[in-house]
Amino acid sequence: MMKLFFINILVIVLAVFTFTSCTNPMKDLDIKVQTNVFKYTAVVEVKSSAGLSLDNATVTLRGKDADKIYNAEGKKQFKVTGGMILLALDPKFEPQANNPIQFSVDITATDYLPINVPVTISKDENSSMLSASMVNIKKLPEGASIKTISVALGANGATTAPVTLQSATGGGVTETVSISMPAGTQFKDAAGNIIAAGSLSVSTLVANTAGNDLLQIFPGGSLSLPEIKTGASASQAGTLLPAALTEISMSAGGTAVKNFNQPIEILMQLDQNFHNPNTNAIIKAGDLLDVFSYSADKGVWTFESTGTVVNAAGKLALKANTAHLTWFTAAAVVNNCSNIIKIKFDAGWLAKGVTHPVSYKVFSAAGQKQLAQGTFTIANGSEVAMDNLPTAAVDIKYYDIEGNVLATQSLLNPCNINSLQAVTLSASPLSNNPKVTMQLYVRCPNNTQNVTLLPTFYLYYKEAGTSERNFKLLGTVTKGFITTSLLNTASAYDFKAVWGSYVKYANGKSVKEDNSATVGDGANDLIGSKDGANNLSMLKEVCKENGY
Amino acid sequence: MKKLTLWVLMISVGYCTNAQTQPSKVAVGVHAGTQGLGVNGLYPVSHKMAVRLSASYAPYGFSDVRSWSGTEYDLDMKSKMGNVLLQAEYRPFNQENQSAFLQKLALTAGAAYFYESKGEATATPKNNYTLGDIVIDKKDIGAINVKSTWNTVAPYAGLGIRQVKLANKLALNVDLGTHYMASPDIILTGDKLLADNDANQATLQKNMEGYRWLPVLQTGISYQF
Repeated sequence: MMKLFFINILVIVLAVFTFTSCTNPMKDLDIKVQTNVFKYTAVVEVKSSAGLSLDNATVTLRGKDADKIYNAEGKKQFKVTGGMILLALDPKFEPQANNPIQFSVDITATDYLPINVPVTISKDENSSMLSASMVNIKKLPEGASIKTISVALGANGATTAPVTLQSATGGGVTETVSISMPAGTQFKDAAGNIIAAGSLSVSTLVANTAGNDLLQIFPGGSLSLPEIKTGASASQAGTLLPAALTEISMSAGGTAVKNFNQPIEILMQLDQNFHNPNTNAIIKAGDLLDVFSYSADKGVWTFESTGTVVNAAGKLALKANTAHLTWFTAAAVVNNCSNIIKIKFDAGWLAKGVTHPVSYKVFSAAGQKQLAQGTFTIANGSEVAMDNLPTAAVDIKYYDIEGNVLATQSLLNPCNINSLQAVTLSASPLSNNPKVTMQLYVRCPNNTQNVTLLPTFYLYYKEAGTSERNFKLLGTVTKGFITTSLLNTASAYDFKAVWGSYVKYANGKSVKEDNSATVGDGANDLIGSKDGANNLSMLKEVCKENGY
Repeated sequence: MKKLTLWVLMISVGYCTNAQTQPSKVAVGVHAGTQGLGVNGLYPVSHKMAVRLSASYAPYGFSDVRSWSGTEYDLDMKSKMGNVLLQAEYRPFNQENQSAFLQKLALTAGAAYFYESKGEATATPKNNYTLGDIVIDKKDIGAINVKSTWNTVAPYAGLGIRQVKLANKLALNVDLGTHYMASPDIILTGDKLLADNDANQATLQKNMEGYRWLPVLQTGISYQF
């Protein structure tokens, strides 16, 4: 009996040796390298003045740090996707406090005026968002007018007599631009060859510089510029305060005109109430203003000449001579500060974990001219950075996503500010909305488990069924999760998610206070409301790239 | 493992073939086996009953290459297990009318205090990581670190073969048994680009739930006073 007991004990002990190795400790482990390897990103939201898609626009980068910038896939191909361009800094580099990453983005599209967007990535801002508006010349926004005039040319492609052309008013524009070309003016192409054509087409766009929608038209979308060429070899950061803005283009026989055999004269009527920072008074005859020209090729405003304000036909105007064509502005320059201003938001109405896209506009205290604008996605207590403010008093206004003013910050001399600035944002009317959380899971085809590393992407929303131009930024979905108070549980919305070069739509969705969904090919999974087959294909491709 | 166990038993039986019934004596010894190296001392309570106190320490380590989601990792695993074990030994067949093998057979049970019981594994990418045209050096990708710890007190039970005579006062002892541990506590952390793998901690914790039996197979030599 005792022997039998011992045999049993021996069997149990031997069995224990088997149990210890029954489960592979590595079973079902899913170790992933983060899909977002970038520490610093900038997003340029590109909007069309006509509300059309700009996904076919051509995007190129240049500038001192352009070689360090990649798209979300780590490639050098840039495009507008879902109205956004994602620009990511090579993770091997980091912006320094005294040496931020700087480059500019050229965007061109058929029927649009080309734009150049300067981008600065500073050490204190891992993710920045900029807005740029492209002007559709066939559907101009309020505050701009365009007039195209044909001029007959002589046998050698020259004007046969002095020609004076005047732009049109209307569309919120009350000033005009006159172009005077002496007899014998010949027109040259980009190679410098005289164009022998029988007629000349002159197109003059004039923008109303008094309105605060000027930034929709102003090349680069900001008056605050990291570089203004003030001389042959001199340049400075500064803020341009335009009293007049025009873009002149010409073509002869279908060939674009780049310059002339002799200068032509441009007379720009000025904003009659322009606050001249040089005199700290309303502009008057006898004041001096500078003329700058802009080339989308270089993305920099360059000093052309200084002129005296004259009274012409009852309106204050500035005259300039030029031998080339581009954007011109009659403006005063205010130097920019070199310091970066750090701001901390007190937004107690934002519950813990809830973010809100807060946009800002910088106005000159004198004249209330809008100088710059941007957007921060903030939570209560968020800290952000702002740079390139002018060496003059400014007012900064902060808005919620519906345009309600949440705070106004007055800075008498932004250059003297070196401490953290506290800004209290008053409660947005949207804060009455319930706190809505959204959690997205991703399950790859033929997998039973959800993906453990979830993407971080931008999510836009609009009321269900409304125009594409109504999409507004809901926020950044971090690792598949977002909490927001922008959505009303009683309404239906269309959503647009932008992840790198991928865009997904989910239309007509109502939200609850707690929402979760799985992207996948299962019976109850989301695969998108537009082009589901393509979405599934994209999902498979991304899953394959990530080893699922 | 089973083959090894049988081999040890067969060798032991061979030594026992001509053995005679021996009273237990105070003894001290050294041992080596799955618990590493250690020392032990035996105090006989009666002809069939004794108390043994032993201390062992085992630092183990090995390396491997594993692949997850298409990325290869160098896996470096280390464990350190050290315990002091107090056990009672009962030799029910230690009498003349039993075979030589059974006379040496002992049933052992006790409790161990683990002054060290931890395992650690570190996974670092074997190669650089490429995203499009960007090459990220493997040292910048980060590492996954797993730490496991067990509770400090664990019961022990097993079988032993005792006092297989080697020389005048030297004897061979063999132990086969197991500690029964609590489920280990697992902490999995990642850094840099591997920072978001925390969800694996629960999976690993579940996988390790069965790792409660710590087997012991060791042999030793004792000096009998």
